[in-house]
Amino acid sequence: MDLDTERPEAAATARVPLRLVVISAAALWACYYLLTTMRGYVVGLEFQDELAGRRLLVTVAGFAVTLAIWPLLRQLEGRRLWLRITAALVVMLPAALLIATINALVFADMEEKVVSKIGEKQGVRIRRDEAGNVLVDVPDLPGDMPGPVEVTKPNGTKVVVSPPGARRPGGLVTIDSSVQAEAKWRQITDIALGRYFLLLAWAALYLALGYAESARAAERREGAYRRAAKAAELRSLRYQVNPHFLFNTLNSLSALVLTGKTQAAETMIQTISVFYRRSLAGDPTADVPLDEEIRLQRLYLEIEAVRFPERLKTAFAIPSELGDACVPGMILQPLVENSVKYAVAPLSRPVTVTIAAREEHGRLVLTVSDDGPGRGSDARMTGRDGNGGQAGNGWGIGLQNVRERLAARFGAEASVVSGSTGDGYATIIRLPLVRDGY
Amino acid sequence: MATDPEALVLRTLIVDDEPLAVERMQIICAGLPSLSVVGTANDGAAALRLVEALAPDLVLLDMTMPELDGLGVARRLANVANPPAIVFVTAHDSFAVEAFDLDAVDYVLKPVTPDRLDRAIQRASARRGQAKPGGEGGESSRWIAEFWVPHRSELLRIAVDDVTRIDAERDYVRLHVENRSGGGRSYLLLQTIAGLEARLDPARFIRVHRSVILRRDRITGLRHDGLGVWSVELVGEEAGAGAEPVRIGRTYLAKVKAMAGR
Repeated sequence: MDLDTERPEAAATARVPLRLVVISAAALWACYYLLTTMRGYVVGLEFQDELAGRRLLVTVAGFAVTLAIWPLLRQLEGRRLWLRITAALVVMLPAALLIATINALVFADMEEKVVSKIGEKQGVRIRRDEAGNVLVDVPDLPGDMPGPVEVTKPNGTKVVVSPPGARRPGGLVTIDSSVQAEAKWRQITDIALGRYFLLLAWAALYLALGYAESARAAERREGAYRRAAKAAELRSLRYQVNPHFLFNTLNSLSALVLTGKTQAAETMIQTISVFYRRSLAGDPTADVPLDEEIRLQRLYLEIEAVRFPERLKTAFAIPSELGDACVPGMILQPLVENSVKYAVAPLSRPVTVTIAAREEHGRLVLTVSDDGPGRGSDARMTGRDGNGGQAGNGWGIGLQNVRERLAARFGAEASVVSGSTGDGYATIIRLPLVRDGY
Repeated sequence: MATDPEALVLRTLIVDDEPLAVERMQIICAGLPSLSVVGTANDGAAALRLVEALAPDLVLLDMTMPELDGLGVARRLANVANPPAIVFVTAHDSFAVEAFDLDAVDYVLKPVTPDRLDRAIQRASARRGQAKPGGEGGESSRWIAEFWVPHRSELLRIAVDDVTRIDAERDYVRLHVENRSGGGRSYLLLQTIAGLEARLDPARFIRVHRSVILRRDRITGLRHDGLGVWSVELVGEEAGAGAEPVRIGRTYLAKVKAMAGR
């Protein structure tokens, strides 16, 4: 039974497995890396090779931050959705800032390079003084040029640098460090916002994966439940041993004891013990070799023979080569019981109960028959027993039990036919022939 | 125990199709001074013949037998003049409704203990001292006078008069019984409520719902709840004894109203 192979906790709480978390985060950041690189080429940024290395560093850092956040999100697994969404919205904010800061640090020196390069292109010389102020030498410009200069930074954000006093022709423009710091923060915030949405996208993906996982877990649980229910059903069907059999048997046993037939009493006690031990032992849903099943029915008939010493005769026709064929345990019990109840008990004359097996086109055919009154007794069909008790353990119930068990075990592969044979009653079971140990 | 021990020894016939069961009963009976076994039979037909030939006071009757079973024998014996007392001996603890109106003295379960059998015999003795409740010769009432319900490891006799209410519960019915001291109990019985209704005296019991039969004297009034829904009010309702009003089923409404003369 594959119930045992599934760890119970795995079925209980659905967790997105670590592997999937890593893969999803890696895929997201790889996408980011590819897209920004492609954009770099399209836009025509300078220093592509140097930028690519740094971008990789930033991407890996982003990936690491994402993974670091994962345990926080995992804490809220199984909580309400709005709580988890809120948590993601809150937690991702500092994370995005962290990534943006890392971004700024990694690209800090590149920025200067790029800016001066752009400056050259525009005919502007850009340098830095000791205090950190940026000094831009602006040449005389024709007309109302220049407009605001758009600078694309290596990390992909655009900064509009509008030369102060653009209309002033020529001269030196000084951008002091406080303005620079402010610009830097704006830049980090801009980048952070971009990363924030990226991280939120991952959080959404993570939540979705989590829900998919819990849906799968629910499915698994339902499957396990169905299997358990089926096992329980088979078990209960199998244990429908007639309680009247038990009391009648105890009555016979008591008679043997009271009449001092100790040897017979002892033999009967042993037979009953073996019968009950075998019928109750083991996995109730498991199959048993036909030999074993026949042994059990022999025991049962031996016990009943003590009650009906003159009236119950038995016959067995089991080919030895079918001894290892697999049958559901106790499958013949209700049929043999019915023969005793509806053929032996109601007749004063001796009745023979026959159990036979044969192979037929690769299928196992089992027959339980008797030379009793046949269909004559309606009780067989209606399930009302001989003394008017209602459907306690009647023929109908017994036969239904066999049908249900075979259906549960083999589906349409097995069939049960029963009816009057002219000189008695017979039930024929056909089921797939499976040998023990294949 | 008695002034005239001779008169109290019941002449007894044992009937069972299983030889060992007969043997066992013989041994147990041998230990009881209150009866003497006059014969044994292995099937219903033999039992009837022996009753005619031996005129026993008591028959210990197995229920499950070939051809003519215990119930069949009892039914025939009910039509005999001066019939013997019947004690059913069975491994079953549930019967068809028909088993209740056979006027058996007792039902004992296999394997019966000597003590339990002795009690059954005492009841039979006591019964013989009285006039037959059902009247002489075959004119036995159509209605059940008592139930035999499984209780612990025994069958318990419940007089129909003590039953106040019967509820259907799946394959079972629950008999609500009020004993003389006013206390209540209930017992489950493997019966259908319809089968039971047919054997209950309609002058004493009335079905008010698909799953409820009430003893008429428990009903104190009818109540209209509106929209054609009616309920019966029960004894003990005011006293707060937990007797909730019972809704009347549509199909039973006319009959219940007729009871109130409407």
